[in-house]
Parts: sequence; C-alpha cells; structure tokens
Amino acid sequence: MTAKHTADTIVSSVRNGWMPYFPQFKQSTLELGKEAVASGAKDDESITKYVFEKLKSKKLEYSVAEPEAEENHPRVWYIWRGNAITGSMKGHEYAFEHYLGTHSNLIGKDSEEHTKDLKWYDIAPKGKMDLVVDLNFRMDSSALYSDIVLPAASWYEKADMNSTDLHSFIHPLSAAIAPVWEAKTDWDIFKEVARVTSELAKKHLAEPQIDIVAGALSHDSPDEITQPSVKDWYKGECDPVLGKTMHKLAVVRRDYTKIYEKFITLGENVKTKGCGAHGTNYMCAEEYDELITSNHFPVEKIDGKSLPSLKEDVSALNVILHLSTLTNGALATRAYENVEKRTGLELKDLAEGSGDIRIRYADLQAQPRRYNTSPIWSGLMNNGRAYAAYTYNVDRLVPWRTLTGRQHFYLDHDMYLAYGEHLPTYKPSPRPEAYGDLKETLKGGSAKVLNCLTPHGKWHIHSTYMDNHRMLTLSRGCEPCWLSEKDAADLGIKDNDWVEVYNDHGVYCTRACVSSRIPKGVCIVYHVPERTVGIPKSQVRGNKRAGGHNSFTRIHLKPNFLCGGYGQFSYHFNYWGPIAPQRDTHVTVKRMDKVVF
Amino acid sequence: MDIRSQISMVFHLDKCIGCHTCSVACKNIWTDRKGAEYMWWNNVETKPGTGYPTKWENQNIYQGGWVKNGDGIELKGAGKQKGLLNIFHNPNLPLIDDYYEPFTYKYLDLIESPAGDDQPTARPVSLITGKPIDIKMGPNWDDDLSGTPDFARNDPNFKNLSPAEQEAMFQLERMAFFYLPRICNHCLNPACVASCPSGAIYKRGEDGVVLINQNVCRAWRMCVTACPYKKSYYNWHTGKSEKCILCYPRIEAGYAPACMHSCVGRIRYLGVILYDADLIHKVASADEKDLIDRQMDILMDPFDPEVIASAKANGIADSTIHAAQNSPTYKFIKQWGLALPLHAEFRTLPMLFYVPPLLPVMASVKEAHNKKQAEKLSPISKVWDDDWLYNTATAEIWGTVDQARFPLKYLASMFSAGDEEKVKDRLKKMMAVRIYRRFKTVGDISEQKAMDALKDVGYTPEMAEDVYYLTSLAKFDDRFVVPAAHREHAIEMLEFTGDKKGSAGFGFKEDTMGRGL
Repeated sequence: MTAKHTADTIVSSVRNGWMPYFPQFKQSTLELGKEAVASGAKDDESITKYVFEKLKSKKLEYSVAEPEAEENHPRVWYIWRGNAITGSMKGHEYAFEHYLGTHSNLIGKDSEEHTKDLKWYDIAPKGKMDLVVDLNFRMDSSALYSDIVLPAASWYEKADMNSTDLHSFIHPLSAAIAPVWEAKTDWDIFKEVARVTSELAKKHLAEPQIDIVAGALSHDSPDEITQPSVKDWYKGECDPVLGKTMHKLAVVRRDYTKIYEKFITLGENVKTKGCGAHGTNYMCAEEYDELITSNHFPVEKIDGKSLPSLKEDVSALNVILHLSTLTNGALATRAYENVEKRTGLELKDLAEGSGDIRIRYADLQAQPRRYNTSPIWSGLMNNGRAYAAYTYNVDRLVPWRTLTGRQHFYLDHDMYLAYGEHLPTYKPSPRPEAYGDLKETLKGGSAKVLNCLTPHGKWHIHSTYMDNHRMLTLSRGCEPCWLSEKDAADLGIKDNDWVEVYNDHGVYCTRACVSSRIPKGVCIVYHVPERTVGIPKSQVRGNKRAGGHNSFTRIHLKPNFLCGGYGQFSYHFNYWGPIAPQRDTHVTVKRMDKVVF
Repeated sequence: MDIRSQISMVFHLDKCIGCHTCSVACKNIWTDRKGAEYMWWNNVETKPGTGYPTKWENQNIYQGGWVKNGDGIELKGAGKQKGLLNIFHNPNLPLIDDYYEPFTYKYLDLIESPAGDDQPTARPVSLITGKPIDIKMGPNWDDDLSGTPDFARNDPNFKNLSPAEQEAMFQLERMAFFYLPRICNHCLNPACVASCPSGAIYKRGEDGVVLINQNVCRAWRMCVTACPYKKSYYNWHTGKSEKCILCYPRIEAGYAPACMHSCVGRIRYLGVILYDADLIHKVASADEKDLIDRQMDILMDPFDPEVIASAKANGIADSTIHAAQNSPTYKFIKQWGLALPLHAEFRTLPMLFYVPPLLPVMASVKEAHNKKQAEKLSPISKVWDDDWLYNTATAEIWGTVDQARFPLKYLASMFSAGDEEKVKDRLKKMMAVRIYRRFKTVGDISEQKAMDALKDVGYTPEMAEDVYYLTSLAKFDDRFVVPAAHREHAIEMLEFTGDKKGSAGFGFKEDTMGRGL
C-alpha cells in the first residue's frame, strides 16, 4: 500500500468513493445520460444501473485514471474571491506549464518511477485550460494571467456577510459607495452569467438534460461504516457495490434554460427536505412559507408560482438568516430536538432564551450580532460564554463526529497502520535529497541547500494588502528572502542584495533580508508576493521573468488524507480530503549581479 | 507656582504588537500629500534597531536637543548663535536617504507593455523624481530585526554595552525585540521652538500641543536639526516644515488622535497633566543622574488645592482640572511610577511616556545531544546540527528582572538617561503586579510571596488591582480622558458668533455612541 505512487492512490481514492473528482468520466456525463435513456432506461434507478454496469465492465473509464487525455482536461476555470494563480497555486510553475500553457521557469524532470493505475504519458500535455475567468477587484497575478477579468465590487461596495466558528459574530459588509466604474457585486455578476447562460441554452441545450454525478462516501452519514478495510473493487478484491465498496451515483435532471430562474429564487427542496450541516438536520417548512407570505421578504413569480426571491444580494442574505439556526431561534430549538432524539440526551435547554430571536441583515448592519448557540457548531455560548470548540461535546456529552464518538489518538485504519501514522508520534523530516528539489539545479556541482518556508506575512492576508502602497512602503518594497546572518555570510550575500531563490521547480527573484531572527539552514519568503510588483528577470533561467513564492514549491500530497469511507475519514467538502502541503521545500540562494526588469 | 495644562500620552510597550495601524491612520489623514510622502509623523520602530530617520538617537550625527552649559542649557546644534552661523547652510540635517526616498510602482506597464513572450511587471519608481529607483531604505526598514548586521547591531543604545553583552542579545534562543511607537513629544522645553529663527513654532497655551505656523515658517529647517527625536520634517514641495499636530482638530471635538483611536493593541493612554512652568528651567538643566526624578517633580498633584488655585488663576477650565484628576497618564507616570520619558538626556522634557517592556525570561536554553538522538532514526532523516534545546520546564518562571532578556543597561539608555535603577524600579513593579495577579487567578504562587513582591515595590493590593485594570481591562473612556474644547471658546474664535446659534457645532463632546465606539 505504501509503495504506491501517490497519483495511483488518488485513482483508487476516486474509484472507491473516498473523494470526488472532476471531470468524472472520459465520456461526457450528459452523453452518458442520453445513452442510458436510448438503451431503454426510464427512471433514475435504471439509469444508475446502466452507468454502474458500464463502470463495472470497465467500458466507462474514470477521468482520474488518465488526466492527460484531451477528454479529461479541465477546460474552464472561474476564479472567485481568491488569488489562485500565485496565491494558492503551490507548484506554480508546473501549473503554468501544463494548465495555462504559458511560459514557465521549470527545469525539473519527471521521476523515473512511473504511475501504474494512472496512465503514464512520456510527454505531458501543455496548456490544458481553454478559458480562465477571474472575478477580481485587484490587478493581481491571477488577473494578469486570466483571459477575462470581471471587475468585482470590493468589500465596501456590496452587501455580504462574514462569519467563522472562531468567534461567534456575524459581520455585515455594506456598500459605503456604489461599485466603482464598471464593477459589479459578485451576486450581480453570477446572476448575469446565469441569465446569459439561460438565454444561450435556449439555442444549444433547449431540452432538459440527464446528468450523472458520482458522489463520495460522506461524513455524518451511514457511509462512515462502509469500508472498514481498504479493498479495491476495480482490482477484484471485492464486489463493486454503489455507496458501499465504491462511490455513489446520482441522476440529476438539468434544465439549462432555467438556470437564471433557479438563481433568483429559492426552490422547494428546502421546504420538503430541510436544512442542516455537521450531522444535524432540521425541517423549516413554516419558515420557508413565511418567506413567501410575510411582507418582510420579496417574492418572484415563476410560471404563476410565488417563490422566495434571491434576486438582490440583500434578499439572499435575509433568506439565509431566516433559515439558519444561528439567526432564527425557533430553528435552533427544533435542531436540538432532533439531536435529542438521536442521542437520548437533554439538549433543548441550550436554545432557551433564543426562541424569539430573528436577526436580519439590517440588524447586523446596525451592530454586529452574536449568533445563537446552535447544534451546527460545537461551542456553547449561553449566558455570554466565550465560544470554544467542542464544549458541546465535553459539557453535554454529545458524541464527537468520529468513528467511536470520542476523541481519537489511535487510528486503526489500514492505511494509517501501513504508513505508521496510527499514533501521533514524532517523525523527523526526510533529508533534502529524499525530496529531490535540486536534482537538475545541482547537477555536476554543489551549493548550500536551505529549507525554504513560506509562512503567513506580518500584515497581509495572503496576497491581499501585500501590494498596498502603504504596506510595501512599511516593508521593503517587496517580499524579501529572509536569511540567517551565518548563511548570508557563507553565501556572500549582504542585506538588501538582489538574490535568486531557486530549485528545479522554479525561481523567485527578490532582495535578501539578513536577520538574526532566522536560524541557520532556513530561509523564509512570506506569502504571497505578487508577480505584478517589481519582480526582475531571472538570470539563472536565461533572462525570463521570475515568479512568486510558489514558484519553487510543489505539492507533497500526504496519502493518508486520501482515504475515506471510514468514520471521521469520510469526505466532507472543505473538512476532509487531501490538503496541499509544500513543507520541506529546499532551495539554493544566489546573489544576483545583474538586475533586469 | 505657575500651573499649566499639558496633554500627555503613555505607551504601554508590553502591549504593542508592531502592526503600524497607528502609522497608517496618521499617514492617510495627514501626510498623503506631495512633499510629505516621506514623512511619518507617527512611526513604529523595532528595538534594537536604528529607526527612522536612521540613527536619529545619535546626536553626534544630528546635533539635536539641548546640552548642559554650566548652570543652564543650550541647544546642541542649532540655537541663536550657532544657528545664525549656519543659517544658509545647515550641515546637520538628515538627508532624504537617511529617511528614505518614497517610491511607487509603474503599474501602467502591466497594461501598456507590448505583447511579448514574458510577463510585464510594475517596477519601482521614485515618488520624487518619477524615475526608476533601487529601493535602499524605508520608514520601517529594520522591522523585526531586518538587516540585523547593518541596523540592530548599530543601535546607538549599545554604546555602553560590552561586545559580549551585545552578542548575547542576538543569540537566537534568547533573542527578543520590542516595538517603539513614536510621535512628536510635545515637549515642555521644545528645542524646535527655541531654534526657529522666524518664531513660527509655538506651544499652545490650552493643552501644550506644539505647532508650526505654516504662514510664518520660512524654511530655515533649524527645527529639523534641533528636534532630537527628528519629528519635525521639511516639506520640499510647500517649502515649510511640518510635524505631528496631535490631531488637534479631533481633540478639540472630543475625538482621540487617529494614532490612538486606531491602536489595535490599545497600548495608548491620553490624559491631562498639570505641571509647574516655573520649574522648567531647573528641570531641564538638572544633572543627568537627577533628570528622571526632576521631570517627575514638575508634574503636580491635581488634587492639591494650591495647584488647583494656580490652575484656575491661569484660566484653566474646571473640565480640564477634572480631567487631570482622572488622568490615566498621571496614574501611570506619577502615581504608580511605571512610565518613563524617552531619552530624557535630550533635556526637552518630552511629554510622551513609555511603560518599558518586561520581556521576562520564561524558559532557558539547555544543552542537548541531538546527534546522538538522531542515530536512532532512519538514515533518511534530516538531522539538525544544533546541540541545544529550548527548555520551558524551568523551576521558577517568575524570575527576577535581572534575568530579563534585555539588559537593563540597554533599556536605561533609552528610558532613564542611563540610570539602570530607574528602569529596574519600573520593571519590578510590573513584575510584582503579575505575581500578585498570578496568586489571585492561578493560585500557584503563595499569598506571602505575592504580598512580599508588592511590599518590595511599595504597592498595596488595591494599587496592583488598579494597575491591572488600566493595563488589561481599560475601556476607551478609561484610556482617553481629555476634555473637548469648550463651546464658548470655539464660538469666540469665529467672526460671526451667530453662525453657530442653534447648533451643537464642533467642540462639543458627543457621547460614546456618537464617536463610533
């Protein structure tokens, strides 16, 4: 198990339903739907069966098993609320080469060890993306590399809300001024994209479509006990059973001509199925009806039927606040009642006193409000208590959302045992040679190798505010490379010298910041510098523009994070799934004698 | 006795996180103008470091402040005679490179560069010349020990430390630094006022704010040299000098200065102090060893009937006297003896005070044999060739201040004209309050030990609670106790007093909600 290439583990992870992957199959899922119907499948069950049989007989291939095939390339990329290119893109230069198909400073060569389950291509394709669309209010590195930039409203030009489970307040954003020039709010941009797509669909996809979605085995559901041991149905180690030994399949009927109507209204599934998260569910039919009958909320008439309106951003915010346990006390009580049924514990008292609380957007604008104690989150906040995670579980004995319902120090999963990760014990970092970040760079020579860290900067949130004029002035006009006094002296580098920080993956050109604060053997580049601001051309890469802090990184995926279908290792969006560590990156640093912009 | 009123500020340095929000608030309001780009009326420095402008504390370079001359004092570098000799050429001015050449970036290049096979970038250009610039200095260049060899190791406050003592401050495992926010000191004996050949600089009667009259300033720049804190700046565009005005338009209206209002760490306290102007000359010309004690003596007890009588005779309003009696700064400086002026030896009688940073030792460095340990690991393991371990399991986490990570000598150079006992006294008081609170809240320290610690510094438990409250729990209105300008004074300054009829107008302190707190 541990001898596998991580990419092969990803393939089995997707097939086994440990995590989702898009695109899903080598064949278009809309085509697949049509094919199923043509073969005589009438209802969801028979369509699912058709697709299942095709997977079982291996006639329908998984995209993840051959990402280099043209059919499996991701084609369109929407970037919203982030600076994905440079900011989040660890292994930046690889992505430049293979996704964007633009220039890159990559000299790394493919490993000698090839993948087995994932089809190996000796020459990997370049430029898989067709279109990059960026919603942005800054000319940052992502905007610079996008095909289309949709000017977006900033925080002070739109209605929106922020919250987190790290504190217990909901913060409103409010338009102090109208969006400047051609900028639109995110809500209006997506609404407009929906409207135009619906218009175009009347010509291109006029009929309702049958789509197939392969879903992962999910957390807080019976899926958690489906795979007590790691067995690969694809290799005949067990029988393929949907939602048990493999992922799930769902049939979704899509009417692309109605995307806009669906965007501006809240559909009735909320009324019939309720809401919930983190294993807690509650019905909200009355509250849904209130959204239509109460004169506090606008409605939209679609085909003669009144539905809650989501047309304006503020309306959408008020609908969320009305249907959330955090801001509608009646729902908090109801959700606790449901947990009482499941746990046999008395919990409803936690909602006492918040029964009549209804917080609307205008209330938040008047003053940020503390939200209700709710079973959706694990902190108890009754009587002004400060939010602390898991006090719900500790004080009220509500089981943790783990396999045993307790906190775990020992993990008895096959993969954790195989990797020696079943107990939280100290494991040293491997030596730099084990990572091979500098194979080509140091070919036929040697140089001082430093462990390069890219931690959070002092006063920017990732790249936001990094290129603010004030903050650039209060730092060094760039994001420098911090070096210890000893390493700098050994490398012949003085404070504020221009330096290249590089390895096989790429190069970042910046100025040295020599400091007693840095231990020897380590250098630091705070993330995220912008490629748009004062980045010279690299001399070690033949006078090509250097990149950012992610140019010398790549992802070392931890295979254990890929496992699923077992207790707390079951997929949940943004909670359980592979993360992208780039730790233990090694570089060499060289003084630049020639600086060209 | 000649009682005057002065607004003073206290900075609690243990609370400063060096975020520079104060600097940015000030910059955005006051110096975002042509000719003022390089000015930071409020700046924050990392200590050890050389600050902004670089090495401003070294008066052998800049010749600022006063020096003792017999029984009196004289300006070190400017002054009537010296100034006249140099009136057309002032050799002691900081140059733009001692501050920094302000810069921006040529952003248009991102959009207007011709198509090519490489990415455009916006390169730095000077805000003064518009030409490409190689950035070599900034207003916070040595932030967080940036450029230690060139800056922190050249801190002028190291002058009395042995090379070994200096080196110990940069030992990675023991290293510490702190932040020093700085604005104009609004001194009682301002060198800038004394140096100005045009008489353009004055100290406001009502609150002691030092201001430069822009209509009278003739650009001699003597104030730039004379101010030992380098808080007077020359605007090359208007040809006038400028400085921090303590946000007086805000203060008059009952608002805190922008730097204070925006302070994230809530480290600043602003309050009224009553002082005896008759004593200024005596204090300013005291022997160096007496400077701190004499400066404390000039700050008068606001409850003393004699002091109140003299204040009233000088036209000081009841609201001001009342504020002085509730002044958080008076408590920190005089009543509790916790705050000290910065570089009293410059003899300007600065009215900003600093609670020195405690920086206690909470752990020790232990010898370890990592290599031997590493032999047990697989050969693929990375091994650090260090032989120390940071050991937090010390028996006594409440050590003495002598063990503090900063040598007292260093702090004394900044805050007590070199007198280590004065700094030690403040640090011991802070430590005593911590020990007392630890006894109260955690209970792993005995009552006897806590009471002994308080007694040793002359504190009662009530005082310790008060210090704790104002340090850790104080609300905005506890930290900012300055009366707004009186409405009758504001109106009297207008040509047509009838204009204000029927309105609250400016200068009328609104309630807390109205100030957005």
